[in-house]
Amino acid sequence: MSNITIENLTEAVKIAKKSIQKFCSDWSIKGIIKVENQIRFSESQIDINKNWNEIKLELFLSQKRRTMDISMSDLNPKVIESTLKSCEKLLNIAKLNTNYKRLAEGPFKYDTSLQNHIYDEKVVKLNEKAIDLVEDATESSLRQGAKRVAGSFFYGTTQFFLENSMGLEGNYKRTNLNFRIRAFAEDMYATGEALSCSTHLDKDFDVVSAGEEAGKICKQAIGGKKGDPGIYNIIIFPKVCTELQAPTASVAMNSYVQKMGLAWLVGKRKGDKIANEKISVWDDGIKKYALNSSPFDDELVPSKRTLLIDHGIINQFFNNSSLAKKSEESTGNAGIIMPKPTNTVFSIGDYTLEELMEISDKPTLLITSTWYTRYQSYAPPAMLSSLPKDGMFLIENKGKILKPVRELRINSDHYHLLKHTLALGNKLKQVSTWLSTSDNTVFAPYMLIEGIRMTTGTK
Amino acid sequence: MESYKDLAEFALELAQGNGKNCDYAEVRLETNHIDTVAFINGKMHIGNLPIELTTDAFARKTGINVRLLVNGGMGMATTNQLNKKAVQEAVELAYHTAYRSSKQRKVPIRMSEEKTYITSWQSKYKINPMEISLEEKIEYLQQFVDIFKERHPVEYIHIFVLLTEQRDTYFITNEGSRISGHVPRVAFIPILIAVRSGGQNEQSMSNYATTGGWDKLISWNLENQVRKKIKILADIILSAKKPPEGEIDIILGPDVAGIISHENCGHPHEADRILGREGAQAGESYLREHKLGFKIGNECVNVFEDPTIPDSYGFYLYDDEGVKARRRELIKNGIFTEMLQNRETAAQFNIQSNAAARAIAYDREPLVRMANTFFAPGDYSFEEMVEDIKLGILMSSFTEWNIDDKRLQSKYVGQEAYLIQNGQVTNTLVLKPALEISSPGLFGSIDAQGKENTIEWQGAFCGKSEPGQGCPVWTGGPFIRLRNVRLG
Repeated sequence: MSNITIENLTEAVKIAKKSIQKFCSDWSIKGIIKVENQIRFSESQIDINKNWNEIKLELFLSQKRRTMDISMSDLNPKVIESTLKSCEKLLNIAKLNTNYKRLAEGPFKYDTSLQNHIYDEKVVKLNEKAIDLVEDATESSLRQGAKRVAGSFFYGTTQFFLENSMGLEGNYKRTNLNFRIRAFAEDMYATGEALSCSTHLDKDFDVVSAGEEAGKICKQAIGGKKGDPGIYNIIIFPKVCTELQAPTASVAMNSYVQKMGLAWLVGKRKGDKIANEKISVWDDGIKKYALNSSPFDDELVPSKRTLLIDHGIINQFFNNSSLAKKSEESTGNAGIIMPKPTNTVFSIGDYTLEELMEISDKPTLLITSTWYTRYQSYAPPAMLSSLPKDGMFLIENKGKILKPVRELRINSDHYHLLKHTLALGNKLKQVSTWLSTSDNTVFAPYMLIEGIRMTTGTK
Repeated sequence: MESYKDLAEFALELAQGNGKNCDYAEVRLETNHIDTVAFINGKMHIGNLPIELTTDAFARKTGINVRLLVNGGMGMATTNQLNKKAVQEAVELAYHTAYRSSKQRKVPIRMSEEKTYITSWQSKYKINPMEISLEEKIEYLQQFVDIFKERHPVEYIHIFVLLTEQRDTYFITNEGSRISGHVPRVAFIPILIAVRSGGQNEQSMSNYATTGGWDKLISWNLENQVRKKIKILADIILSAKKPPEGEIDIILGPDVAGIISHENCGHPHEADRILGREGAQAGESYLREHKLGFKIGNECVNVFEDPTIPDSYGFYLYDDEGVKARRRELIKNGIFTEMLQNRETAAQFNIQSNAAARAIAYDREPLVRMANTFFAPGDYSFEEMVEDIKLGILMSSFTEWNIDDKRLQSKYVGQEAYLIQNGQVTNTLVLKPALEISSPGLFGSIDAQGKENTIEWQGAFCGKSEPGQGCPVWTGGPFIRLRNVRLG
């Protein structure tokens, strides 16, 4: 891996800080050193092996509550200085940002033990073994009946260095492993996808199982016929939760988004019921081996585990220091202007997947993946449609028969999806998927949801 | 930029020295500057947005991308540490990972043979939008914000985004190409949500975008268009009626024709999808099962692609593999005529690239991408299209849409849509007509395309690849007519 060191960053921070202090009342500098790798494969062969080495500054600048963010990966000293001169001019004529009040006041105590649970030296030394993992997963998928596989394996290390005008500073590093594989049968419409992600090679990171799962789904999907439109119960895989369930917690429960009126929880408050009582959801920034965990947020406020939905009832919108109400503390989700979700974690239930299929008493579809979720409007009720992408099955005889079906589209809204979730699986899976509506990491179980309208093309 | 060109040359020398044996070597030095100013519900916002338009709303980015083909394996390494040591490391990484990857491949990757160029290109403009002051940008946006000081029959959430950026590239290969590119872009993006108590709402997002400079944007006089959009959203909420049932005829406006040309034609015609390379990302294509010459739609259907359209948001003259850009005829007279190719896919078909390789920044690989996709003009005036429709709708704009990853099953929900009865477009607005249809079903239902003077364009960011690359494009077309279609 790279020989980029903190010294490469220090000079850029020094130059930036010197300029910023001349014109900013509040400021924050986040230095990032990122060494990332990706192996992309398709047709069971590696297409490209990519390597990124990047040093970057993310700056928050405020002059009397006129604010701006800037990202700089051109760290030529002259560019830093001239860019910050432009920023000074911009702030002079920018308008007051009433959504910004202040940066968090310290001092804070941080959980130093988290570092070992989000950083794994073995990932740093993975090197050529990464290709072996891709080959292992490919073989396991082909053994299960796939004819060919495609996928992506990201792995790398990111180091973060933060300091701000409140005199706070801190740093941490985090490793990431994100593997996704899609299996294809001879019949190109029979596909299966599975993934595995973690911060640690030895903690719930299993590419062989992912390969097997994708291979099995694609084999079962062979010969699928166009499904009948109508109302169904659906059982969704954890991956599908990133599209259908998690966005309520990761997007709509963002205090900034709520304040701007840009999500479907507009008008809802603490204490309002929005989901079945079986559902509780946390934003958990300190979850071990989770891709979005960190000891502190962008204001250096310690990360937390915040209960967002408590047995179906809104408990808390996640926020930062400026958006926390007078009686509240920050939930540790800065973004200094716009809060960010960390890891969205769902409650679990009592059921295995087999038991969920057994208890559903109406026509039921098993949906293993979905994509291209689009809204008619962000405002409530935010009607959406989403397309099942890989194996979809009509469950018959209490799950003893899975009949592959195709060309059906989910039509619903997040209220319906959360309120009509009847039962939850008994295990959580960490999922972080490509171009998902939830841009963060989600820990979700299988879910049984009733009364979903499925439509199909008319020609 | 100029001061780093030697470093790019140094990288290319390294890729060919010290016993290295590259089948192909390219180095791309690239600078991206992005400035975004927005007003959200009347409040000025400089910084990242609560809606995903760009990764960084305000950014300064320069770096080097080294992409090497070694023994049939491809490796890419990027760095923004613009010194010899970091560049040397990037070259070594790209070389060794390419070589190691080649050992896993059964079929070596090849690049198509192409002419090399030593040249420079840029979009034509008078005023570079990056040089516009913040004051002027605020003044421009304020005219739209001020519309909401007036009385309206419903409430609005309103976001106005002004995105200005500049991309400068220096592209060199071991084959001898030396190509400099320069493209400033500007996009004005109004997002409007009309809300009425009781849960009724209508949302629209438009994108007026160009590489033709700030002066081009100003020349469009967009205030009237935004006012029209604000009014129509309220009218839909207050008066739209249920869409007709049974088989009807539909006229699609240029906005809807544009998105269809992009989603149902452009994407499935991307050769990398057809070959499976995007299988785990943007997906594959139903055309994988078909060969060139396959009949996709009726004879009147022509869908083309052209990066060289002046002022267009997807404008370029040389792609990011150094191939000279030209028009591509994807569907001609209803026939699957041409795919979008880069050098890697073209080599697999033993043909030449048609210059569809694009990357959005130094840290992204060039992939098969669209530029400006459109339905070509036909022979019909709008009046001729309408006159023999007994029962139908005119769908001028759309809201929710999606399409499966093989680009076969699509859905477009109409927004501004009017009932057509007995050869007349009525004033009756139709509420959310949903066209849920397969690509061959759609292209097989088109019987008329409007004349050239009805063509309009919309800017868009086309999402593809991993890590994602939101590529600036135009979509467009004239009015098109579909016969005997049932709404979902």
